[in-house]
Amino acid sequence: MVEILVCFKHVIDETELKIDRGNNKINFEGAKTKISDDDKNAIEEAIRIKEKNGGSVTALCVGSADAKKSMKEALAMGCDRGRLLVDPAFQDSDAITTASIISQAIKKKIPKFDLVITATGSTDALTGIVGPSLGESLGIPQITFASKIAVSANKVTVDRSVEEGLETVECEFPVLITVSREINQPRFPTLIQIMSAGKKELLEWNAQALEIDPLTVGKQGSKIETNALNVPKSARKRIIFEGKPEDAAKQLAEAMFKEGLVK
Amino acid sequence: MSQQQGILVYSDLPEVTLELITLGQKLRAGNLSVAVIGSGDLQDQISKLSVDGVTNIYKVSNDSLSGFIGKPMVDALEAVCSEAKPNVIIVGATRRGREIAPRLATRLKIGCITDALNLEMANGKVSAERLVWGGNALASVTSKGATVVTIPLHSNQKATGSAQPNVVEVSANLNPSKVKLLGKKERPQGQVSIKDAEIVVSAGRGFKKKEDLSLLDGLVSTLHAVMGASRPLTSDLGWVPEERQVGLSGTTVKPKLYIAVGISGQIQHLTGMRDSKVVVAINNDKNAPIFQECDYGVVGDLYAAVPTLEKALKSQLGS
Ligand SMILES: Cc1cc2nc3c(=O)[nH]c(=O)nc-3n(C[C@H](O)[C@H](O)[C@H](O)COP(=O)(O)OP(=O)(O)OC[C@H]3O[C@@H](n4cnc5c(N)ncnc54)[C@H](O)[C@@H]3O)c2cc1C
Ligand SMILES: Nc1ncnc2c1ncn2[C@@H]1O[C@H](COP(=O)(O)O)[C@@H](O)[C@H]1O
Repeated sequence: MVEILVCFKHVIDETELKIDRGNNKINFEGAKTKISDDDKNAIEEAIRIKEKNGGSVTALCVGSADAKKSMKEALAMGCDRGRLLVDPAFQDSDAITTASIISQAIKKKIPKFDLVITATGSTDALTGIVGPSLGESLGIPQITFASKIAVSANKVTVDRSVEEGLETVECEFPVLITVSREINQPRFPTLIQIMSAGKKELLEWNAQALEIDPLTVGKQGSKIETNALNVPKSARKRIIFEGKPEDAAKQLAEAMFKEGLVK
Repeated sequence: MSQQQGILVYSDLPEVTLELITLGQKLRAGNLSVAVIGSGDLQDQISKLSVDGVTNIYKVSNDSLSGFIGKPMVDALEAVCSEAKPNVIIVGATRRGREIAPRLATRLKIGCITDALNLEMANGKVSAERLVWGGNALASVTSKGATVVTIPLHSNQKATGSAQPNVVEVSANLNPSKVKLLGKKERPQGQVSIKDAEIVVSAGRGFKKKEDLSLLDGLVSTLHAVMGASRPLTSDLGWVPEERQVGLSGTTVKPKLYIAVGISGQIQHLTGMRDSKVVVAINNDKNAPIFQECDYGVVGDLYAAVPTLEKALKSQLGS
């Protein structure tokens, strides 16, 4: 029996963002939201571990009221219960502050657990901070960049990728693991699962319920401030050859010679 | 934390530490200190890192640091920070660096900026740009006061020269980690690394199957190039070893010529090749973002264009 907590982020679908090259800005209008890509791998892994070893999976998300939608999807995939950490005071928290909110929720409400799983990075902020910071705040060991997890009795054996190769490490519960996207292929919930997700327990906890001082979270509680969002600029020549690929390729070869690129 | 000043740099890979030292020099923000952490006398590393601009080397040597496990590394860095009192701690964005930087920041109760581009320091504030939203946007971020920053690999030259920094031995209270290293499989190293290559030819998801990558062999050898790849081909499909991945979570390359074949040009990829001198793209989708980011482009099927390009180059070279 393994008690698993899995953290996911509810994000704007970046493939739906429109880029306004004219004023170099991003248009968020009408963009859909989703579970952050690699967090689906985290959820999938949590569910697989439960299916194999017994236990339960609790999904945690710090987000807006709209995040309920993603929470339902996580429940449909197979999480047993959802905990949405939602409060206007949480808005604009930086990654370390977000981790502190999750950590406080776990300490206050779910102190008994074996495994915390996050992804290595979110699709929107891409900081890769929340997982390691959460492990540190909880004061438990952590294993990052996991590409394979095996659970036996009271411990995990994990393959993790580092620059020089693959490490195999082992750790007793409780432990936090950040997973890489290559760890699995997330499932699509069936229609029946989607319909029965509505019956699963979904609680909302605000700052008060978690005994969080609003001054320590959100913009004022955060050390990192995000100011402007811009579209990266480029100053390339953009000489494009079209037509038959063979002809275009020949023109390209000539251009490369003229530039002195080929010797 | 008031009298914080100066810069401390650290990476678990000494080669990367040299890159961070170059960045530290550019920032000109007081003392430039280097943390050397490991087991044994660490003399090799200390002499290797005694390069121009380095004022202090803080050394922590302890047996529990031999396996590069996160916790004792963070303990050691925390001890170094309480001696050196840096305003900015710059960590190389290796996998281990990506773990220890947020952990250190959380312990020190300071800010953390990961994958920082265009890092600057002014008036006690650290500012940088970072890619967000799947890389479609650049965010400007600032941090008040002390900050831990991670820097993408190979985005700076290695520092050179020699100096006689003060070597300060720091004794740290290290608790062994509960995470035990059972084994390690080294990745076979390629002959030429892409980060030093003059010409890089990279393959992307436009290739339909692994065998088709051999289509590039002739082009690569004609140009004396090194082959790179986009992330789908490395970590997702496993067609190409990870050390050849170009981009945000791979390597930054700065060749004279970069040829992107069947690569759409998502920003995470562009980040890794943006400083290439000349960029060439082959893609059958006229609207692929790579065409906004290239000097020369061919709109067309790579299966037709690549062999023709190879032939045309060979005939011009007279080979
Ligand atoms: C946190 C994070 C980190 C990332 N890090 C990296 C990284 O380091 N490096 C990286 O590369 N990506 C990275 N990515 C992934 C990145 O977002 C893109 O998904 C990836 O770069 C796309 O690779 P691609 O261009 O090969 O594939 P696609 O985007 O699928 O593009 C394939 C292209 O091939 C073209 N094509 C198809 N058939 C043909 C044909 N017959 N002839 C010619 N052209 C053809 C298509 O028009 C298309 O433009 C990262 C993503 C995230 C979220
Ligand atoms: N708001 C959030 N709520 C719950 N989990 C989160 C949140 N933000 C980040 N995480 C988790 O931390 C991982 C890393 O996120 P990030 O630090 O934003 O790159 C994500 O993949 C999630 O698993």
